[in-house]
Amino acid sequence: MRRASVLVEVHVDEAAERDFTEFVAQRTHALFRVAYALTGDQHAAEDLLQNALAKAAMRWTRIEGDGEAYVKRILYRDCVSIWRWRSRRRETLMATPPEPRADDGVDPDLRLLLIDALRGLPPKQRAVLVLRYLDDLSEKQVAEVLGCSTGTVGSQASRALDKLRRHIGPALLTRLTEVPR
Amino acid sequence: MTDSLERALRVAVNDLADAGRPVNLAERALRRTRVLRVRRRVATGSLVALTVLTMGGFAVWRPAAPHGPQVAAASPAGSASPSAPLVTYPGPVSYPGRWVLGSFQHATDGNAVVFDRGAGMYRTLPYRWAVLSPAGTVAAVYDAGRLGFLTLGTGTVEWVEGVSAVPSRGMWSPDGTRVVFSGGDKDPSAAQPPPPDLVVVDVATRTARTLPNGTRCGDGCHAYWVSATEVAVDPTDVTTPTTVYAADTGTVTRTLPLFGRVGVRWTGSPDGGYVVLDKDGETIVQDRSARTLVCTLPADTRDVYWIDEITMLVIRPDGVSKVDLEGRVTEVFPFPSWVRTGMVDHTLVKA
Repeated sequence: MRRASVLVEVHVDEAAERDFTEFVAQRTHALFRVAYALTGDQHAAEDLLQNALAKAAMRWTRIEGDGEAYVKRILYRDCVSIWRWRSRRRETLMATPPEPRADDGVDPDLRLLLIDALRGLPPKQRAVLVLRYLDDLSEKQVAEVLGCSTGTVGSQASRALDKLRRHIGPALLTRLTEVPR
Repeated sequence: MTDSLERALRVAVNDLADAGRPVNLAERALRRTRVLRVRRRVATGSLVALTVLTMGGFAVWRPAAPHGPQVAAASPAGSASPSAPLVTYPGPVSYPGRWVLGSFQHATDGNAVVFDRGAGMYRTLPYRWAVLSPAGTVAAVYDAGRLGFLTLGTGTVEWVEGVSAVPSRGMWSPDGTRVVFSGGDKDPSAAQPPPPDLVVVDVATRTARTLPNGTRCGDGCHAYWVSATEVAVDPTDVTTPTTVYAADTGTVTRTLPLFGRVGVRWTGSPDGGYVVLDKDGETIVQDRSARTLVCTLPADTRDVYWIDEITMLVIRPDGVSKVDLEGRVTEVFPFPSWVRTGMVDHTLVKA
């Protein structure tokens, strides 16, 4: 009897592992984009995503609904709550400079400044902006993912945008407002 | 916010997301899952015995390795770059105040490098992070969420199990007997993000204590030692005093009025009069008794070590600078080329 139950458990684990491995193979790219946007660092993004996937794998058979949304929720929360800084200030080496987009109509200098400013934001502020502008979530949805109030989301977004504006500087901000809608 | 700024921000966030290089993490995640399952089974209560697993006689390198550059086989236990050769470099790289370069990390493959003072060389490890003990004889290593202790004299690793938490980069106590880290493996689907645990590992007795005061810390939550017997984390609101806990019991011992965040390591001057902090994106020195700002350190400061009560060694991207209490750089020590090229996260240790 004991032997049979062990066999069933092993069978379930193997099936879950196959399912999970297939999920990771299909969704790694999308999940890694989020992890990289949250950390701005190749190794930190790998660590963040690896831990999130491990946590999801433990509960894989019990996750209700979209597995990708579940992993993303862990990514955002881990990034904010147990972020591991490597040194007093994070290194800001970029593995590959972002490729310019030909048709975005955004000033290249402004885009690079914004990327630089995003990397300098505290984790929670950056998480709010990534949720808003990468995942296109509403303020209420952002609050649900981060497990905080909409007021906190609003204040974090406001502080983040203030920092971005300061980083951009008045000259580029003026050019920005002159861009036709 | 204007539409144009919103549009630019959307483009920038997507650009940033596209800058990384996705890797296959399925195998690593599954291996990490098995480690977590073991932890869940073992961890009971706030004070838990650790299961220490010596790597079955396996050593990261052979003991008594000869001096000079060499390449050894990589450990199958590591995941940072399992197939990379474990290159060694001549050492030490020395600085004033009996400081030597203790560790750094390859930016490309993520492998940590530590100074093995017994062998007089720097060793590349098959692990992502490594933090040398104050005596420099043991390194706390981190790989796939595991915490281990690498004895540099023998090259053997003891992996610690039984701690229900993901180790952050731990910090050694000043006397080298304990390591503190913060983290948590609680259910990530909970409505409210759980506060991280503070976990103190006693290296000699192989026990870990999860401090009962689950404190909610701010962005960049990281536990550090304030003294030989006290630990702390930066508060959520930097305008509030930092709470200090007894490492033995977790009881609150005192609070510290600080101008900014400590970050990852308490960097107080030898006499305790000054402390280095991060404030509004700058690295500053605060006079603790007068509660005044003493000076601002170079903008590219990565880390700080004290030579004496009035002189610091500041780690910068290209080397180490000697800086006085007015924030002036008085001497520059560029990194050797093999350290500077593609290396990050440099730390120092006493010779």
